Amino acid sequence: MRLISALLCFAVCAAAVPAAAFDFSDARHVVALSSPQLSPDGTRIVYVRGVPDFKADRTDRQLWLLDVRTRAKRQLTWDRKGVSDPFWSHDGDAIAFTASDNDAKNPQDQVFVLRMDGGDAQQITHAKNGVDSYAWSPDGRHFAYTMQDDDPNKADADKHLDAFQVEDNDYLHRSATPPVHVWICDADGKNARQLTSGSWSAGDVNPGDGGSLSWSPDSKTIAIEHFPTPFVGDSLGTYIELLDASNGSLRRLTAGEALQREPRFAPHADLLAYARNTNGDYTQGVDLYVADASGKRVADLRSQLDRDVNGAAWDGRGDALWVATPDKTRGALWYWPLHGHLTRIDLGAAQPAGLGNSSKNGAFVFTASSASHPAEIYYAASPTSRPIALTDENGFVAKTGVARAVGVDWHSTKGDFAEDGVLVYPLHYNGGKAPLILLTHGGPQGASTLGWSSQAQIFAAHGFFVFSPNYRGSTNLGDAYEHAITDDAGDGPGKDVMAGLATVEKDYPIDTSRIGVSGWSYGGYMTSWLIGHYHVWKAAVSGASLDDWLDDYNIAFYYDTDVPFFKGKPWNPSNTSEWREQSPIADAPQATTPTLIMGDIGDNNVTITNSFKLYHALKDNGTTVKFIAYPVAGHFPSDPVRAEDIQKHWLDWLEQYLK
Amino acid sequence: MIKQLVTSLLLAGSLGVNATAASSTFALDDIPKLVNISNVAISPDGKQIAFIVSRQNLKTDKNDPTLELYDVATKMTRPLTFERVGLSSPAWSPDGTKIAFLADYGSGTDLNQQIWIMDLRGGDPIAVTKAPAGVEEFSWRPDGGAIAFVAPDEPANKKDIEKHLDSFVVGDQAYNDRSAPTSNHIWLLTLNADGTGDAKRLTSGTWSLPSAQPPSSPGPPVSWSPDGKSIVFTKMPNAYDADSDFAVICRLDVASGSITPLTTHGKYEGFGEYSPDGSHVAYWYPQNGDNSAVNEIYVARASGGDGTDVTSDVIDTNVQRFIWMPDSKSLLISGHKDTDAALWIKPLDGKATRIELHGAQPSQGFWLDASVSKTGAIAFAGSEPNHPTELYYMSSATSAPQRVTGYNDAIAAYNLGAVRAIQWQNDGFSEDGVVTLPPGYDASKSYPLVLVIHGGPNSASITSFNAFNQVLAARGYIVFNPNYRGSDNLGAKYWYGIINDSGAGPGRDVMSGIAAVEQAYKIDTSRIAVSGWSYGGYMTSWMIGHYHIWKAAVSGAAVNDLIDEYALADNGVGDRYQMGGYSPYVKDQTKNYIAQSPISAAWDVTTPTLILSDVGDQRVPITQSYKFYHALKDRGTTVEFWAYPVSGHFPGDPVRQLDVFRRWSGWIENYLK
Repeated sequence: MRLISALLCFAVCAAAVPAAAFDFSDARHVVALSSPQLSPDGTRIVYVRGVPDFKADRTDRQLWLLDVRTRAKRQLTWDRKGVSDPFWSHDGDAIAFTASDNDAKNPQDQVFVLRMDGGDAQQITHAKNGVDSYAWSPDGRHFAYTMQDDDPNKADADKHLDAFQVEDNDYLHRSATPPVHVWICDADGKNARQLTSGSWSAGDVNPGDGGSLSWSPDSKTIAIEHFPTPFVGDSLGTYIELLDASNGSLRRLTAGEALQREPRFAPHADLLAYARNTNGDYTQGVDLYVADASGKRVADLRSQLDRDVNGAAWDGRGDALWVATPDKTRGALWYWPLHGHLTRIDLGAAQPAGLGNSSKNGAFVFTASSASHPAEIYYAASPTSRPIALTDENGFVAKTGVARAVGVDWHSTKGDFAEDGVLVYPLHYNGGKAPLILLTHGGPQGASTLGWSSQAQIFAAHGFFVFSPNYRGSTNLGDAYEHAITDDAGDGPGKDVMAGLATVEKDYPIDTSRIGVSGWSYGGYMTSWLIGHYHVWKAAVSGASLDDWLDDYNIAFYYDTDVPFFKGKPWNPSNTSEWREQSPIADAPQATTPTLIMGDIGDNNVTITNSFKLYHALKDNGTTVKFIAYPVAGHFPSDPVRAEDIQKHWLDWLEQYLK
Repeated sequence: MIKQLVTSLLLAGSLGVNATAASSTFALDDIPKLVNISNVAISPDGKQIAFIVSRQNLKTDKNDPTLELYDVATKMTRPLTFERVGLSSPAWSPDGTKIAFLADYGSGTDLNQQIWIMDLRGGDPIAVTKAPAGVEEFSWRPDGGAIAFVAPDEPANKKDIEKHLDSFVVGDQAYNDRSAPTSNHIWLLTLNADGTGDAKRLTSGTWSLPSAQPPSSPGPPVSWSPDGKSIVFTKMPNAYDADSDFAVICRLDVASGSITPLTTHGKYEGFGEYSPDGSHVAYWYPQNGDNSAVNEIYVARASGGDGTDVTSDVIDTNVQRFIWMPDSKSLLISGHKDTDAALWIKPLDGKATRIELHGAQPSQGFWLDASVSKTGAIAFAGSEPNHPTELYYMSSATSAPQRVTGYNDAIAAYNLGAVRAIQWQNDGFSEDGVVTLPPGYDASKSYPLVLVIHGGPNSASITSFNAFNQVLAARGYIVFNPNYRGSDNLGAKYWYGIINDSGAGPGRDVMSGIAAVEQAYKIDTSRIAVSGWSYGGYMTSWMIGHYHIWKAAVSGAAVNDLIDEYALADNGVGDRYQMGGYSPYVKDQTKNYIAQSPISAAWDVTTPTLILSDVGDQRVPITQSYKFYHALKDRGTTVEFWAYPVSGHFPGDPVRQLDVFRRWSGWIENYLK
């Protein structure tokens, strides 16, 4: 159950418009910077720059190039669709990336290569079903990529014999789900051939993890992810395999060890870093392990740091990793020498948003934001020099006025945990009591930290305190805290939030008669839970909320990955009541809070069926409720128009009842 | 309007060509040969009958309709339309010179069903409406100079939708709707001398007229007073079909636009129609004003008032449809009775007389497909136990029906299985069902038994032609279609027996029925399969969870979770009337809904089960099949789940329909061998 939504991505565009407060019109100008990659010599950075286009209702993403020394920027790709995943050639002469091909009817993502001495990017792959992920061999001679197999039933389906056998897929599927497999081709795209095959899969189809590929330094071996099936619901049995690029033979990295993900070979040695939940327990946080090619464990981050790993990248010189984790109410960047002490990189008020890579000389690039500044490109010349921001695309927000954010600490009701959250003051706060909005994060494996949030800033600009509590299950306080949501999906987390609220009420000038609660995804779960169990709210917004665990298990894509958080499978009569009792719908009839429900019709992550149940449970008991649905796919609309529309409805509802 | 959990599994109908030798038995591949007859409309003078013939086209995967005309005097039939699509609802002009019908017009996103008028003196029909979202239904004004029609409004936020601001406020609607429903309103189409028409809106507002939500009866009619000054219609409080329980009969004054309710009920009404002389309005209303009870016909004075229930004391059935007889003093009434589709003539102030149909079974899944002329002649679509649908004609209510077409004669000539009614007693009820025997049935031999349980639950298995029963019987099974409490063929009390007893009582009824079948016929009790679609799927899932005598099961589009059904289905909230009127979210009803759901006993299932469902089903959301699938799989029970990526409660196209029957019969055959 990792129900994190793309709300954190609600940020986008350029050209500062001076205004008294950061509002929706300003949020439209926030530019999204991502996927920074340093050239091998460390002089240039390629990155993806995303600008929302409200007219076309899409985010235009193109590659840009940044000179580290002069900070001069220029656009590299133009008018391409689906640009992502830039990657430098080993000699720095070219950049590979994926983008949509020119097939107007059925566009597919393909690998392109752009020479850095001029000329159009060349399409390298012609993968019939599109490239899910790719990796360029260190010797520059091959591309490995993953692609979903053909639907074997295609010919019959064209004749309307399109019935498909249901497996552990989500309920929105309309055809069989072939597995994803690894292909290889020459650097110019020739000699494409499939390297792996079978009913297992080198990627899962939902939420669209196309599999992770990593070449060994000698370009002979590719580390891949082996999923038991293409379905994320079966992914508890995923492990890393080493694929011989010359003959397709496979060797499991570590016998008997499951839940291995995201293999990354070190640049010079046959060392492999990979992610895995601590001790292979899915209810624990994500740990970072390093093994040698024989699978023997060389290092384990947990020996030095009990925090959930968000991202990791090898130092270009080898033998050390850059690691991002949340840490209390901050995002932290760490430098981890395999044979030395972990050090925390001083980022001032900033915190990492996404990690890039490290050049041969050990410089490192990443994106970072702070509570007062959306993400920019950051550069560290070395682990011992303080990182600096190389871009200032989003500095305009300072002119609009940015509300102050602080960390808040408290103790859980039973005293078993020291807990925390983030509180944003109303903009231009001058004293006096103000209403409060709870903005509860999703996941639950996520964390509210002091990074940029357009949504919280807009709410603050409208005169609200905004409180984003962490709660057991959050990733910022270590494995024990993250695990504590097991067999306790709502009660414990609910009490954590209420304890946090009590501290905020005690220490800050909150108008306790005007408190609203809201969240999306698991934040929606928390909202639905809190209105069913506590009656202190004036209004609620429950977005894409998980209200019925049985829907999560049976019709969303989670299936078996929900089971570790319960005593066992749900239809076994000895377990059913636990699944039902931990569902907010069980107590939703007790809610009296005016509630806005929102969701996407085509959400296979937290299915809209949950929202329908919450809607009827509230309506049938006479509680004020409004349910707005978006007729689109996804866990949160991916287009700027609908994304903004959700934020506006969210705020309008709270303002209506809290003002 | 009655909406139910059933499907048109009772495919009826076949090509009159290529007559096969009488020795042939009926097989899967014969199903596409069945021809369907429907939408019967007799001319006012009773001399001609228009009707729609539908043939299955496996190549295009479509049902090809033609409007055909039968002449009573010459007994000749001829087609009136050629390659028209979306054909339905033929209606004679009051003077009998024209036929109006609905058919597709336009292309691309502008393709909609519009009204066409065909002049029987010759000439192409003319599309007389250009309703932007099509026409739901229509009715000739009695003077023939105009037509009232019902059409959906365009979405109020059409401009926003074009800018991707297409979110919508959800009401009592299906979980996979992608927009809010729009209201239906009444328009007046004035017909010009040149054959064209001018449309003018008569009603507007957030309220709505109902529309057909198949499988269901058609949308309630708009009915003209004989003077053309008033229209009675069914008015819903909003456009959400699931809120149609609060529908009332209203009278529209055409000149002023004023709307007044006919009665004081304020809810549960439908299908109001003026008597031909305009003195009365007959309408649907549930027995004793209890929306869980059977449908009755009330007749009120046209000037207003509740009127009286004219059916409850004389015909103990759920009334499917009434048609005013031309004398304005009696009604033709239809309903299921025992294992027959029955018709009665009910004088307003007298005893009902059942019409002797001599074995013909008028088509009446929710709606009697029949028509009465001004002369009192009756035409209907119907079938017989061993003859698929044809057109039937009666010169009067007392004459014997004549089968006047032979579209399916070739199928009728097959060596078909005998169809027998069977009766038994259980829990104080006299119950019944239908048994289909293998062709060449030998009473000294024992046969495996296959149950095919009807949906609804407010429907019935009767002795009409049933193609799938014949397919199974021809494979050597005795096929049993049990009725069970909740079926609509054994009176009001039987119908009511399923209220708040969704599974346990009906389950006992079916088990008693099996015992009766085992007494009457020699059954190999080690080889019994159970199957059904929709509520028949509910029954299947229930039976395999609570009884363990089955070798195989096929659970199609099954209601497995009554809470999912309530919260997600298109008519979901209406299901509370099956549960004593309570939502699952009030008065601790959750436990009750759970206890009565088949999913609660799924962990006890040991029967190898095939699950089938449409991905886009709004009547019984596929979510419930996913739950049952995971429960059986997690338990280690043999299960396969095949899904059809189409909308609807049952695939509407011939290719997928045949595929459903192929998988269904194949699964049974695999385990009953």
